[in-house]
Amino acid sequence: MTPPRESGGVYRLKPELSEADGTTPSPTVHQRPLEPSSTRTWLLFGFMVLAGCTLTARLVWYQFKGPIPSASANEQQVDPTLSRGTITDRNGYPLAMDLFSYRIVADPKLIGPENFEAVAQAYAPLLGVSAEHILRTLQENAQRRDAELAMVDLDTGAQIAGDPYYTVTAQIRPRTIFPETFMAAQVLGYVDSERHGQYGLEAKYNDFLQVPTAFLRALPTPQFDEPNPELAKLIANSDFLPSAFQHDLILSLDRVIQYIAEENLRHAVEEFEAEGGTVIVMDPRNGAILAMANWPTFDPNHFSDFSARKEVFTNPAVDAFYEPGSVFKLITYAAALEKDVITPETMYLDEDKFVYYEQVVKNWDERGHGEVTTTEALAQSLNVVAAKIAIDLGASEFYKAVSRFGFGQTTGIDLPNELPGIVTNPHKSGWVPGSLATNSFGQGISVTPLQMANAVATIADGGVRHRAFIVQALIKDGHVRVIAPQAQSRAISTETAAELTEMMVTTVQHIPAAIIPGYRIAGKSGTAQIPNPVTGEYEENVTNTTFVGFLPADDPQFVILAKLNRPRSNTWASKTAANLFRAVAHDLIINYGIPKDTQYQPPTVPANPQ
Amino acid sequence: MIQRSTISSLQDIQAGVLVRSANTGPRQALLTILLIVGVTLILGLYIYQSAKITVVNYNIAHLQNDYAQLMRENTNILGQIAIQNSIRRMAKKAIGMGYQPLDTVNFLYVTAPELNAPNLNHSPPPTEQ
Repeated sequence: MTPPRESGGVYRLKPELSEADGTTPSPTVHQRPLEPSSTRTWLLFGFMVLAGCTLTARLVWYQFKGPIPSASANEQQVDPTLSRGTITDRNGYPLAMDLFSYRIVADPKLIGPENFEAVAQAYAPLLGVSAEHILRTLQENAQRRDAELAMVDLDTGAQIAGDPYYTVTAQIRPRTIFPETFMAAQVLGYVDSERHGQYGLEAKYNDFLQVPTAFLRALPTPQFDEPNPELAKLIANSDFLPSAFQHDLILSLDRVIQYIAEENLRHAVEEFEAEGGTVIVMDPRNGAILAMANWPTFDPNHFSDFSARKEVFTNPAVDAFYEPGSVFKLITYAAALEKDVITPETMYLDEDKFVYYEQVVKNWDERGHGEVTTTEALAQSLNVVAAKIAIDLGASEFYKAVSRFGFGQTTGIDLPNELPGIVTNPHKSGWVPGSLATNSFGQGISVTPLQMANAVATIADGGVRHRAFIVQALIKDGHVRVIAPQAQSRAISTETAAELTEMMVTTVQHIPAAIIPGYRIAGKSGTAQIPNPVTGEYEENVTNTTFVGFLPADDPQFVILAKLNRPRSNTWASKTAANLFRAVAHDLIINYGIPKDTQYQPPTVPANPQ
Repeated sequence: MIQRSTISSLQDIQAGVLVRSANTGPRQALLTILLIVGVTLILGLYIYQSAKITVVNYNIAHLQNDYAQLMRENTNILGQIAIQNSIRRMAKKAIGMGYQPLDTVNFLYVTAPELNAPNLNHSPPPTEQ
């Protein structure tokens, strides 16, 4: 006998017949109603209504909202690899940009060895490579699923991409090129085969330049976060800005000035048999770097050719320091003028030898020049007078001024690996009182070429120190962010800067190699001995030569630092770096049409007949 | 007794089915049918819209691919222009064509005419008769 189901059944039968009465109840009579069955029906009904509502809501959403294509879905269809933004100079000319090609890949396993020959013959004409090359590649990679056959242009790649058999496929591959080849190579860096930026701006701005998606979509014309008519005009007129991906950098570099700096540097290195050199051109009015050239350099398009000499990838303008020599006297004089310790006419006794705390100071010619004004002392680059001025000024004020000009700290330029240099002071170990004397003329102190250029730019701009910068704007996803020039601090007063400028103009008149007839140029040369890192002694007959100055002296537009490392044909800055400075300055004058200071004569106004 | 009981049970089962059918009734059957029809309609609409969306999505993806391809071609052309216009290349070409770098720059200073001075040479436009 089957026991009645207590619950959960489809329905419940009546209880068993009673043996006592032996009657059979009417089949239409139930002891309990069909409640569970009814509940299930309603549950099913509710579920269907819910599903219907959901579907209807979805339909309505599609109908009115419309489908939005998923970017992530298309990413895989468009491009499996990532592009990078464009880097341009201040006029919108590209210095680094992506080009596209197709990587043609075969699947040797799918093809099968018996078909290698046929595939090689079929694809050789299309790929522009020999059938033997394809055959060899397939045979060498017979057990692999991918073998790179060639890199081809977009048209050819598109043809192969349509191959229905998937034995040979085309994969889009962006590649960063540097159209100006060697230009500003150490500033830009390069992009390695893994598409990572290495060195320079490519490394510093790697995350910004790396486009996070390969999905190419039409982007709106970029809008400025803050109005900037000059850059707006540049972007509107540029063929290269913004790039398709809008992850771009606009630099302050000017490719013409960069070219001038690099060509003249290369010639100077050859002419003076130097090991290398650096040229920096700055705009003193805002701290913009207009050119930053180094030699030796490399071609970022073929960076692997230079991998044996990795030092060429670094940027010695910011990540190498040196003892600047007499150009540092400008800081000593600026500090003394600012504190009224000297005037341009203050007289000093110049001796052939001056001893200060066992530190022997001699002039470059090892002679004493007798009573001289400070202006003459600067012009003749007298170490003894510089040391005496620093001592009169006092160590505290001297090192405060050194700090105000930005030495011993980074300039804050947006380039990687910038070094602060090495500046001693009375509070640091290793400093001895005699250090003040040697530091006053730029020995025993280490600076980067950029720091030196920035300090002179401070003098040129009336004593205001700006943050040096090389990236002036960033374009990203429809927005332009302008990096505003930043005045950091006042190092000296306007009056002091004007006085020092006049002294520098006088100095240039004593250096024939730096003179450009008709132009008032302010500048200073510096010949520095080089300490041997092993012995700690200065090397014999080996120097670094620097000339730094600005023009026109009365309305400075360019600050130029020219530095040559270990020139062999002549070890003096006034004969080497000064020549390089003049060559760069001359080309800037020609290209930018800077009129002579002495050329302009007011036209004679005819007398009024009335 | 056992046989009777079994037969009774079977009868009861049949009776139960009959009872259940009788209780479900035509109203519920109609409701169910309507529900099925409704859901089927909605499903049909959903499938139709989905298919339409898929086609549109496919077209959009296709257009996006075309757009991307055009942008890449455009970028490549710009790249070639940039390479051809590289300053070193242009300097080399210019020198090859016989040009020389400028060595000097001269300025010719002129006196600007007085802006407010009346133009005496200006003749009035002819008037119609």
